[in-house]
Amino acid sequence: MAETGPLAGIRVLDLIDGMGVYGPRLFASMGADVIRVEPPGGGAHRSREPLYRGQSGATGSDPGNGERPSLYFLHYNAGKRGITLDASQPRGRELLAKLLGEVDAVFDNGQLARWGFDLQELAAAEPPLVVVSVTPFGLEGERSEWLGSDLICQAMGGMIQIFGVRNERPARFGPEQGSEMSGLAAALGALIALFGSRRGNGGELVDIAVERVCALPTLQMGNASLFHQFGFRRERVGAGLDMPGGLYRARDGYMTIGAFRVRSDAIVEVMQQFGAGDELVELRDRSPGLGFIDSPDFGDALARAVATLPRQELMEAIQDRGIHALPVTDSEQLVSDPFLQQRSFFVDVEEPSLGLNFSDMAVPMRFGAADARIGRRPPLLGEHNSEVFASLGVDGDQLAQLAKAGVV
Amino acid sequence: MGLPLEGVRIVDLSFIVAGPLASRLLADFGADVVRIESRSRIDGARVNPARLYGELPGDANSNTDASGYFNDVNAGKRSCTLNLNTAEGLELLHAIVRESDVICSNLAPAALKRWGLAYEDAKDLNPKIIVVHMPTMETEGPRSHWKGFGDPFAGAGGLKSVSGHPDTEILPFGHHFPDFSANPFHAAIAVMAALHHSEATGEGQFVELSQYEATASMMGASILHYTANDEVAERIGNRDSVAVPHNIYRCAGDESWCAIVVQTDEQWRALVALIGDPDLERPDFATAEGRRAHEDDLDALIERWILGWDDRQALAETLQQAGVPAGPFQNIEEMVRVDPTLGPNHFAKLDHPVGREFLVHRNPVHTQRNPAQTRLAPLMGADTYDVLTEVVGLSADEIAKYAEAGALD
Repeated sequence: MAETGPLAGIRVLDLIDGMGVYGPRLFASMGADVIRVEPPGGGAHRSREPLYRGQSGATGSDPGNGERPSLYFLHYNAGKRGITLDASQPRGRELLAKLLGEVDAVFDNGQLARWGFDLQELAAAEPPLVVVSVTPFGLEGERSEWLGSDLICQAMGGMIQIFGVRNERPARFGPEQGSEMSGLAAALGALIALFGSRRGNGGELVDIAVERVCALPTLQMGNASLFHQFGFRRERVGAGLDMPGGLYRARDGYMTIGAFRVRSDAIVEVMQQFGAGDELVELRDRSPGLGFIDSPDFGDALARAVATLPRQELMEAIQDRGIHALPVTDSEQLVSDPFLQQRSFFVDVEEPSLGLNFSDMAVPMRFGAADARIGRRPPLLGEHNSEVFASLGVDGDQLAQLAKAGVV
Repeated sequence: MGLPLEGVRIVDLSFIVAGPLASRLLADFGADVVRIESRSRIDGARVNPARLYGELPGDANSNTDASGYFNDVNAGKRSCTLNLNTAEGLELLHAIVRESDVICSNLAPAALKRWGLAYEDAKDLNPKIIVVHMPTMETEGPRSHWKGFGDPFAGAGGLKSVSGHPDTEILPFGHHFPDFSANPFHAAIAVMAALHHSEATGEGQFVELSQYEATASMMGASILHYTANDEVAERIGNRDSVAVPHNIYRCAGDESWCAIVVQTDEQWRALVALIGDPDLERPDFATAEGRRAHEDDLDALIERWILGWDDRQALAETLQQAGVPAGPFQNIEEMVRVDPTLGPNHFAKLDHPVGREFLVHRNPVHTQRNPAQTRLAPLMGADTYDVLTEVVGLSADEIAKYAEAGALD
């Protein structure tokens, strides 16, 4: 298969079966050859929700254990090849070691250490290998042995420390934004280290701690410097937060309106254009000039006016006046958005065990010189065993023996 | 061994966060990030507005070099102040672009056009240039003038439809989440991917990163859930499809919480042994399936015990010692002073010329063999002279002439 995309020619092993799974997926959709390594029974992501709820195995074979295919697996593994390997057995470990010598980078959730590999040694090897480790609390430090998860890292890292209302139960950012962000950090770290390798820096050990990634979004409202210097801290105040981009409910859905200094006259004009500006005009005339947009009366009157209007048209009209307005969407509205459809943001990916095509997202970057797209459907369990192991000099008979021994 | 991005020069034409943070993530690894700034249109992040942070002592609200926020998202860059409303200022900007590898920008498409830096024009200046542009919606087309930012993107990209407790009002995320996650990270990845392509082929290119699309990309499998199952992913609060129980529990005291996540039956048994409540020892709780059927009851029983703890750090430590995944809901004080994974291991303490010490997030990408550096953000215009001499190759006399013509700001 012809490889396209800016990462064509880069080879990657993907052992991720936990957090950070978006990282190798990004690599695959930018043209890298990503080989997903699973245990012979399939990885945990093969059964992770959401599962396909239609007719299982309608036109093809089941994905492994007779269960419904996981849409989670299908999303995150589009564009990759797939092999099975039990590296807890000596022969499997040997094969994995060989594979590690053939690739430029490996993404890992801690499996390598469990199988007796020394990450530092791997990162110092020749030819250079970039080892990307994604763990809850990093490889070093007194809490590196703590057990973690997306929810725990979001809570500890402060990601959700100002979401919601003080003394009401905090909730996390979905879907699994700590893990998702860590995938971005893992991909970025891999690319930076690979660039160093290209320029003669050798291998690298990239240590992504999900908790530290989750801490980054605190840098504005929960700014550490302002705390350090002045004891400043933000509390959770729910909807009462003084931040731009106020939430309004239009006739057919939520939207946000406003910017740092809303041009109130322009907003009033838009509302008049829709025949819904009378109350706002009255308010403005009562207190002309400054202070008008900051008054709660203005907000309330605007909310009443917006509630009567169709979201899409209103949004277009407000944006045409140079003011921010965006919808609050869900997955259905995203998929149905004509703007995204016309830009081919969604692409058809074949689901191999069903022989059906489903729309999924490719990659948001549009590379002018190297079109990035999903070049390959998600792999069936062990689908590429023969070709990948053949490249290591394992012939058909040997592969059959390995399969018999449960190594692949 | 030099830092991996030494020798890569990035022209940073960006403001507030999403754009600045993208190139800052690369500055830590040795890229020479030259921020083009203007004193007549100061980046809003350069101050600590009282509206957000209250009245701070001294000039901390107004000093354009003292913002905690700016000093974080611009760490390790250089600042070059130019007046781009003059032909001479534009000439200098173009001269910098000729000597650079990348332009990274979250400015409106119209601004780049006005300055002669739309990709086609930038390519004329420097055929190998990489331009990564982060429009709200699109760089060209009917929505190229659309505005958007942070928290509203979280709504537009669908993240709010799957965040928070079910049956509650949609709330602000509290901070402008996509500005710190989807948008700068995808942009930095775009820069790096284009640099790899350039190393392999010698080609530059234009990369468009629509912030609307970048944020929507964080929806993960929710999209397939709709396209394959015809089901709209909903808000599930703190629930999880595998781990059960999986929640954030109330401790004794004000705004005190602890997350507990039970991923295996073994961890469940450890939790039950630790709590010692016979109500939890029911055999139907032994499996994830059984626990899921009674998750609300379980949460109430667990919280009954958690409410007896007034020290969330000690509670989490105790749970972890017993083999139960847990973690305190930490505020900024705990992040900076208590947590060993964060604290000094994450926040670099930097002395700043404004006379205060700043805590700057280290790059979340840790590299063990060749670590990233965390350096101060630039004072406004501090590097104008150096950039014009080192990068553009001007003499002091030539710079003086540009200054006379009003090109510097």
